[in-house]
Amino acid sequence: MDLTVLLQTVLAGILVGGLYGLIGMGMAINFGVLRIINLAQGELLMVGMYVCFWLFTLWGLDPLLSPVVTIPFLFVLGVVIHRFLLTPLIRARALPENQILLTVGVGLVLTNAALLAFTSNYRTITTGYSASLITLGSIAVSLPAVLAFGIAMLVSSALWLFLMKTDLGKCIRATAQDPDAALLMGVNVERISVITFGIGAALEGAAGSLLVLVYYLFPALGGIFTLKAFIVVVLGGLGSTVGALLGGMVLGLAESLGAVYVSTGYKDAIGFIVFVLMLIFRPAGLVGRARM
Amino acid sequence: MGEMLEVRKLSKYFGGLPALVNVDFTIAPGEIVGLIGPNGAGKTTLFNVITGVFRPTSGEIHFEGKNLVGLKPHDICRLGITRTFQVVKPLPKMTVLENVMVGAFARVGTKEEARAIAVRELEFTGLLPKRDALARSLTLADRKRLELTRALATRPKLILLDEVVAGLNPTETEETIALIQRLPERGIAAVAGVEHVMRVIMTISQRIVVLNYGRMIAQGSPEEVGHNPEVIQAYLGEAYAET
Amino acid sequence: MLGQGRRGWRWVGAILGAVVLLGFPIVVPDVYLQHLAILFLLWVTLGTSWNLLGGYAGQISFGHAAFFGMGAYTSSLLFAKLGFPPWPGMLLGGVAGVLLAVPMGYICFRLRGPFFALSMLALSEFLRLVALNWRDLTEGAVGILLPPFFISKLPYYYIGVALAAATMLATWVLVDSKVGFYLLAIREDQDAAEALGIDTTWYKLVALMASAFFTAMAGSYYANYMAYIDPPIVFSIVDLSIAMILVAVLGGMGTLLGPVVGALVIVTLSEAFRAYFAAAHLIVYGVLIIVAIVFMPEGIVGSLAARGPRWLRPRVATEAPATGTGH
Repeated sequence: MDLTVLLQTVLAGILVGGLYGLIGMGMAINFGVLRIINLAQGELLMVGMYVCFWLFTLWGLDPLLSPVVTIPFLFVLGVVIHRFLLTPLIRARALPENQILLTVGVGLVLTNAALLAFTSNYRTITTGYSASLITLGSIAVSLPAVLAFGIAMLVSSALWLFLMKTDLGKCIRATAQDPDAALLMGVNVERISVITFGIGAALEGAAGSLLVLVYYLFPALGGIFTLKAFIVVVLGGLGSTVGALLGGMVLGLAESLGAVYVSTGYKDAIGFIVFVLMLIFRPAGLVGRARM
Repeated sequence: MGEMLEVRKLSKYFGGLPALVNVDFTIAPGEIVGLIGPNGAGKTTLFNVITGVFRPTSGEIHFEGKNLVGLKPHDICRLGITRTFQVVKPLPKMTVLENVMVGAFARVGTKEEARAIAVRELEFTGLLPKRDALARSLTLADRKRLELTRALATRPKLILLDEVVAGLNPTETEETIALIQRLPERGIAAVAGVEHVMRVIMTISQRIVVLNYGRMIAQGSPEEVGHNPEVIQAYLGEAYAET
Repeated sequence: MLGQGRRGWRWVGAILGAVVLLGFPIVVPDVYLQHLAILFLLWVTLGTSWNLLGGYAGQISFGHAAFFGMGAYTSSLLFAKLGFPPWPGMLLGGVAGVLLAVPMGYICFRLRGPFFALSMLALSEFLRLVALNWRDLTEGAVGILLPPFFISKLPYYYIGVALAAATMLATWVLVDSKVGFYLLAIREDQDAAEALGIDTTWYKLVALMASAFFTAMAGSYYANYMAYIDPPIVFSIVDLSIAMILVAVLGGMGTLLGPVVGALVIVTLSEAFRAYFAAAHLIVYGVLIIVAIVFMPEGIVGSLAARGPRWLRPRVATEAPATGTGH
């Protein structure tokens, strides 16, 4: 086995894994606090990517700077979605499956609206540094991938600090641990839910800005990444943001290794295999939280 | 011996937390045994372990000579042990009659047979007039009675009653006591788990088992147990708060 | 007395419906409308079969496309590679669906609620990838092309009627039996059901197998009718798995007529929007889902049943004894 190829594959896997982790974190935070699996999470990512794409195409704004726009934009979108669609469901004590179905509906609307507006053409962004490589000895990694990874880590750290150190962050964590107790402690759980959903969306906005550097864009991308985000979250332990990061790495590695050593066609299947294997052999870790 | 249920040195630890420690007792056919203990003593856990919801950490459970450890709840129900839940679990969108029929199906296969059994049990507990009401529309007292009726429809030899009178007013409590006291004549033994409605337990039990922090601290007739200093201490005098 | 009168109307309605159903393609020669009618029957079958597991047993599956695809590929491959006749092949497709249901259920029933739903989705996706990549077996993305088995749409139509009717009949019989009671009990409270002697894992599996059987047959039927299948079509998440749920939810989960109503709405709206929005017509699915869940969670039939005539009520049939004691 060629060591260079192995190292390169592992590195590539970790880099994209960091991005997967950021994408998964949005879903993890939604699940941890709201106990909602947002199946439109990938579609929010897609929206973020389109915003970034058009900012670049129309006004030349570099993707690495676009989080300044995509993060607040997606935050507002998330808040609107939750406030007007999910909050009524929660108030009516709807089944969790219904809440998930609702997010599926939202995702469908977003995907098809994008299809109507932007057609199904594949879009890519080419910046001055798109093709650049960083070489360490005989190993080469794509510069955009490294930059994306770096910023993903930055955003993750910022999120962690926010959750740990700020009052709002503590309210969010309190609601995640026990919504009833939080309510009794004076936390406006409904408002926190809306804000948290917005944060989850904002994370996808940030991730979208980064993903355009390494992935091509098309409306149906939402579905693909929602599934990836879910797998990441399940691998890492539901509701755990740190877990999502680790889960992202695992998925990224599995895909990368799978693509090189198994076959490119089955690359996506690797994620499912890992997921199913976890269900079979380590359901205790999942089932404990998964048994609602 | 004639002992129907034998629990020997039963222990259940949740991680490091001891929920049950070396619990040891037997039930004879047709007996009514009271199971008392302060909040958190392990009564519900004991019921959960006996009925297979949890696997014991150590110890043995035998019912009519068969080992129960490792069996699923539905198997144990088929063997003849049924339980009611502390927080009642009606099947909300089904009617009272349908609820009880679900229980009856444990023994029969056709709707007609199940309906016949269900009607008989509903007559026994007095819920027949409400047979077409949706379970979720019932009051708490009726829900508890439905739970009992449904359990009886499974034709148990032993029924574990978890807080069967908690939340009932005195009249409802009296009615429930009367029902339970009629169980032995049907050949059904009962263990009634109760936290603090002492009068009920003292009235209906032939024998009482006392749990505290997962351990059995006393066992005997109501009089013996009522005067046991350790029991009184465990309850800190709250034992007779509700009479 | 009153009950008998109502029951009389039920029979009249049923006979009238049967006449309309059977006479439709003869009276309406328009090929496009016949095609829509076939789609309607297909969705009645799919919605009803999903409803068996989702509405009655309470297990919401997001991955039923797996069975559809399994059925479609089984009968198509049997024909394409072995010359096996397509319509008996439909039955084998159904059997294949049942066989698939066993391992899928074994894996996914360890989880509850939304996690069950999503694990089914993941397995369905995995199956799609297998179909896509196992080219030697399935021809991969190229798909399988079948010859037209009938020139006229009429035979397809009547087979579709038979399939839909069989699915509904099976549901009706199942729900009205001990199994049906047990499935409802599992839906209402799985832990209580276990305590009452119900082997919940087994009965959930029974519901899944029955559901898979009809969904898979529908897949074979679709393949035989459309004469072309490929992985993105027959394993589609949105066009199949989600759409099936929408049909049942919109119409009314846990009711017999719900999927019929849902199928009607979906087919008509979907076709109407296809004309205006082309590829983006699925936006109507999204909107319908949102509308259904936020405003009408009981579905059309369910909402009507709560407010409307008794005969619409989605209850398990238990007749009160003719002479009641203690009235």
